[in-house]
Amino acid sequence: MFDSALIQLMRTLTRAGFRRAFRQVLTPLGAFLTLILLFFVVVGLGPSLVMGVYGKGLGDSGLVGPLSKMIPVMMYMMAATAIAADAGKAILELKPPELQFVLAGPFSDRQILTYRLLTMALGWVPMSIFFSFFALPYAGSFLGGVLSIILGSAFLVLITMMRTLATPRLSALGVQGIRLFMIGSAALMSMEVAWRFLDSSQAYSIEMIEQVVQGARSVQVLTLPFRPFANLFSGQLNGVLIANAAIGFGLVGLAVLGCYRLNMGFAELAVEGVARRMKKLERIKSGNINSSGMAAKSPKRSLPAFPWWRGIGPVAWLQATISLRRSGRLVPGLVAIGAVLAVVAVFLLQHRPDLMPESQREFAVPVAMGVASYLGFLVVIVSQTGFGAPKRTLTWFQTLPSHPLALAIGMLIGSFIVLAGIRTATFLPSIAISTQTPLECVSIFFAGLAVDLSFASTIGFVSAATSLRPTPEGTPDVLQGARAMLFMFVVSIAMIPSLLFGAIGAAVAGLMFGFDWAPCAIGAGVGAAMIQPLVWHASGKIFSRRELETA
Amino acid sequence: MIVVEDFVKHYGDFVAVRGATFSVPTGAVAALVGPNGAGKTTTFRTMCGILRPTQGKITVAGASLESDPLEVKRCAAYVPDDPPLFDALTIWEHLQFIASAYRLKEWEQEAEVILQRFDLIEKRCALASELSRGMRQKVAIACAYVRKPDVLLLDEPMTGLDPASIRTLKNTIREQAGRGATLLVSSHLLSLVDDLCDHLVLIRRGQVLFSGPMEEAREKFGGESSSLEEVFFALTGEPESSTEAGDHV
Repeated sequence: MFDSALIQLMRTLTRAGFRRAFRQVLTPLGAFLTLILLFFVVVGLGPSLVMGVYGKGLGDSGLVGPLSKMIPVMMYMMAATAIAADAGKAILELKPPELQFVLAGPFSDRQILTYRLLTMALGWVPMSIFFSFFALPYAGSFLGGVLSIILGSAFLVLITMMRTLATPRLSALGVQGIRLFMIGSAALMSMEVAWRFLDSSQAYSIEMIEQVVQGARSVQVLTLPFRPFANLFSGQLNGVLIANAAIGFGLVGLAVLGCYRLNMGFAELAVEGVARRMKKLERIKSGNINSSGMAAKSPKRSLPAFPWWRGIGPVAWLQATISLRRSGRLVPGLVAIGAVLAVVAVFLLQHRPDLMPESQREFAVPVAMGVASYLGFLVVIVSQTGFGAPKRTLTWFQTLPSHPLALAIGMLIGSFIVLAGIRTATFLPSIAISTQTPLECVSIFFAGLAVDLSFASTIGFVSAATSLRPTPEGTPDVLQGARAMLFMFVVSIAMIPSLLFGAIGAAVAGLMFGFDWAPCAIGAGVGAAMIQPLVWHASGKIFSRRELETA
Repeated sequence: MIVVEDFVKHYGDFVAVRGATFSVPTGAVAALVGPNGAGKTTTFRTMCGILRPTQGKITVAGASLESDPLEVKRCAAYVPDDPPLFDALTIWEHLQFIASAYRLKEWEQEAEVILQRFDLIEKRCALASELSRGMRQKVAIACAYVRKPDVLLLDEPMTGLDPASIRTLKNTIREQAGRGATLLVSSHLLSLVDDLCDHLVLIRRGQVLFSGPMEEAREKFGGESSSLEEVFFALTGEPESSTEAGDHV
């Protein structure tokens, strides 16, 4: 089952990884990035450690109890999604050099599977222990938390892998059957929970939701294999925890055994995986970080050409096309979901006006706008559009006969479309449940759009003025996380002038028309938008003067 | 016409080009050749406005890079070595973008002819991410041709092309020169540019060793075979001290 050469390869690769990381840390930039990484880890981990070690933890608090009981449901949903989408393919992917040295080597399928499982465990176990520290205040015990995360995630990965390994043995009908079962069972659970939710006479609360979910028959049956992991997480250090740990180990062991039993033609599956990975690396290098956004087949329709607009049009058209193709169905999908949720919310509130407390409905739009900003931030920061594109592609724009200002405006359109789409998607359900006036809601939406414009402009400015990028341009390395954090930190600082102008705008509008939602939101939006031409001017000038090759 | 005078380019402490002076007359096809690291790509990138010269004057189609960089960008088309394309765009959309950015009128027919010649017409709706290395190269060339620029800067344009495409490329280069465009072509495949170019700019370690008509180079340095390869080795094989910039210019 084990081959000494593969064990030797694993040992050498691990040593080489550490050596490479150590060398990077010793460079001035590496040391700086390591310090930033450590700072964020300490800031992020510190409170959890203090609460977990010195405090009693949050395990008994009213919120954590019901939430930890939802772990099996979340695990089932994750498993159903992963199996239905055949996510195991990604798990079987080997690195391109492994094609030559492992797959083409004198090793059996069983030995290669062992190699893959061990390399996965080598990365997975330390990561799980690290994340367990974050979960410390919420877990019943540290040991239970660590074991729950390691075993639970390993079980999820292994059953997903089993499905993929079974592919050569299954007919097309069988594959479709598994997919339909997983989707159908998840849908059945969701429908039963929704029906019980509507049927419940209790007031809306976290406890009520937990009871509704746990009481569903389908939830009780389908989530059974995942319950030991949840019990392990919330249990105290006692005999029950040992029993749950034993069940957890047993389930993982069974899943491993299942992988070996089903393993037939791992090499073929892995070769496909290597090809996919090489394509993925190529795609990342070319600036497309999204995996599924851009369909492999040629698009049927093009975006209509934009007018010239002093040179903004062609660049804006290009950025909009790239952004929409890469994000795929994300933006239209989110807007559609937002519209459906809005209709559902209107329907529900007509039948159950007491479903949501008045105080929550009043702040629905501001909260939704906050959520949209956060979601937009997460999506756009890694999207590599506009000036954030890889340097090779940016050379195109340096050869264009466009004015720097026109270039800067055109380049931010891709990010802005995605941000505005996400904002619209969250705005629709929030306005449906809001008790604020339509004018107030639209004003807050307008302020949100101004924030999107500022954010898109600021990302463009930071990308044009520095070599910082949140995503790797070459081979991803150990300091990538620190680089991303540094990028976000710099973007946050660069956002200060826009936010300051927004605050001034809100204050001026408030003084002039009264401190109400509508005038303050419009004032904030106008204030933030007013400073953007300056940001565009600076971005365009800096970009056209920059020499990307030497950066 | 291309005129480069005392062009110097520094990357920090490293001197990539040290006082290059050469000119290419209108309608000429010039070969920019030299060993690896000679400064060819730096020269190209500076001429099209991606890099800024540390010192010196560059004039492209009558426009000065220093005083009118936008006009230089309008007049010159640059096809880099291993050209980056937009993976989310189809071949036709690349051409559409070029047409829109350079405000081309009635370009579609010309574009179709170019795609036809480079055997890309059936792939016009294919995404760039689906194309092979050679096809990407041909798309970049098509994007340059559709503009009908006054100056074409082609950096290693034959890399990745199959023999048929190389032949097409060579024919189209001659046609571009025939309509009055000035072409500067770099290549390590000396035999392929030998019969194509009527002008030579030979550069080594950032210094121009020869600039002038190809015939003159052949006569002076071509030996018995009069080949470009002989010229290349005769000039680059000599000790550096005896081939100072300007010696043969």
